[in-house]
Amino acid sequence: MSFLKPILIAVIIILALLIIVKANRFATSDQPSNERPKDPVKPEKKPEKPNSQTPIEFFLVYVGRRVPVTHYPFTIGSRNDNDLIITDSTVSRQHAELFRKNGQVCLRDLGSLNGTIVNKVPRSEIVIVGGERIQLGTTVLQIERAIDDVSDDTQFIRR
Amino acid sequence: MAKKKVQKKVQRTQKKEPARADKKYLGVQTLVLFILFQLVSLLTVVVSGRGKAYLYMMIPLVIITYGGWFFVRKMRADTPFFLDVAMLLTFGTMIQCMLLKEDTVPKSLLIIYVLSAVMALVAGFLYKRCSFIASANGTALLIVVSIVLYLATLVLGAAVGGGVRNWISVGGMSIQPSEFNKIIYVLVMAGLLCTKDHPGKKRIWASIFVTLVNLGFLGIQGEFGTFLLILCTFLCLIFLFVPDIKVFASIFSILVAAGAAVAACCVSLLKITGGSSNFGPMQFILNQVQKIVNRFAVWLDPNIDPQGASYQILQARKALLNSNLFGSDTTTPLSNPTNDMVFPALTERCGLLIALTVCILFGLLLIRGTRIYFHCQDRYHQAVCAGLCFQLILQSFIIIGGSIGMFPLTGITLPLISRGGTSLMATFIILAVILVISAGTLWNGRRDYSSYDSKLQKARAVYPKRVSSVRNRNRRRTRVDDTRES
Repeated sequence: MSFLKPILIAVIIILALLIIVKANRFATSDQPSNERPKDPVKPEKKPEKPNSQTPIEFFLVYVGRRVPVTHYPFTIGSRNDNDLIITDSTVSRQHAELFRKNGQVCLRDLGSLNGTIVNKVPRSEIVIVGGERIQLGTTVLQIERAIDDVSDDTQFIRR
Repeated sequence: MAKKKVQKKVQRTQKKEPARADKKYLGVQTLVLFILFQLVSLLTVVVSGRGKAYLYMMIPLVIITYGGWFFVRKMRADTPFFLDVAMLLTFGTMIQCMLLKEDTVPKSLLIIYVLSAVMALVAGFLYKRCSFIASANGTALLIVVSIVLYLATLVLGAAVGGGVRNWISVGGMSIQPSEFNKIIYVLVMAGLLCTKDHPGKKRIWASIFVTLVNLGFLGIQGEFGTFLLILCTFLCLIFLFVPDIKVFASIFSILVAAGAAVAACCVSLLKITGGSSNFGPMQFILNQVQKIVNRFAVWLDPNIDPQGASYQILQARKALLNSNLFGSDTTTPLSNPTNDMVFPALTERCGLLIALTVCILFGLLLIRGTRIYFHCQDRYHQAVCAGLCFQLILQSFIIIGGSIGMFPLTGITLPLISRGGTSLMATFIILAVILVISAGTLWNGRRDYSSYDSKLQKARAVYPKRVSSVRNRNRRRTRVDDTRES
């Protein structure tokens, strides 16, 4: 019987290593390898949503212009792939984001350098009701709830 | 290369959800592999002649691993972290069964496993619901609880081997409260340092005071493994969560200087008095110093007292020398193989490769813990996760290093592998809390903003009839005011 033990222990170690490799999946989570086949299907559905006229709930007032929040997540930052681009040296490249959570709209700070200050209080995540005053770096945005008339400046939205 | 980088960037920006949103969905393959892994471990123990005991131990082990897996999946917590833990636990059960004296039902081990699983469930549930502990009142309550535990140890404590008085017996079972105090200490420090964006001087002083109280009680009990652990946790938390690096630098330098001074004083005291004194407390201090000095002396040269103080270390080294890659059949008698010396025992009975795997698993725990720490949204939970994870890894590092002769040996347990009942309970609680944190949907730990808002308004308010308004008229305005006017 004693000759079995080394073999069994070797098997255990091989199994343990396999589980480690499987479980820890050394590729980073930013590059999902298995979910690629699903992705091409989704983008076809997604563009329909803005066209089907989901009612716009909020506007961001930025330097006197009203920017509608057309989709969620709605990112704000200084890099030019954001939905609202703010060219300000105190605003981070990816500064904040509006997203939906349990039916409510929330604002989340994306790890910015100067922080996101909502109504004078620095927040990492907060539910948005409308009428908030958001300070990103030195830029101040006002959030407005949508009323029926829509007079928007859409040049600030990436299409 | 450049193209690849661009592609990566595009992918990253297109995915708007944070990385935590799509949790690892581990397939059936891993489950099958894990079941196979446990079956083979069972076979190994059967071959070693402790099959019956391990069969009984499989009942709680299977319930803990697969039940835990179910909960983790349901919570959408960090599955890889849990799998590493489950594998470590399987190795631990294996070696504990191999170390049993005869092949019967291991009742005490069964009770320990069941109790710790229940404790872990309760702790996870409490942590998920109980936002109270992050407030000022909650922190005060936790401090009081830890001091009560320490006092209970001092009053009711019974000396168990080596003169360490850190056990109290409750209902026929002996409990080591310092294991729970470690967890409470991390929670207190997180509540003090991380419920505000920038902890002020008051909070830093309070945290230093709490640390000193903890260290003092541990010193009185003569438990220097936990003493070292809490000291390192303190440094780690100060380093990570006090934004001003000067605080860490000054505390670290003061600690080093004070440590050197105290060590020099103690050694010279020992030389002057010769290790005995008429004054009671003095004698106590001298005993403690003598103990630590002995540990160092034995570590440097194990051959000075081969039958007494250095017997443990010598036997451990013999066991390490006796081991081969896949486990040897002959065994050396170790002085405390189930607790302190579990690592040499594991190396001897299961082979060097399994010992190496255990080390790798602890390293992976550190990596996964760091990932959880970085994915945390909230600073309080970040602090709790960092502190607990750091403690777990440091504990395993110290005891593995101690038993293989890298450091002087201190009597703490190897988490998840040693038998120590309270230690296993505390480890399970720590793991439950970390897993709940990794699930993400938790209360906000920054609870001081309710008063912060009104405080800010008070500071800004102008009372025209007061002298202070005149004094503050020329005060430099803050940035918030500037932007409002522009």
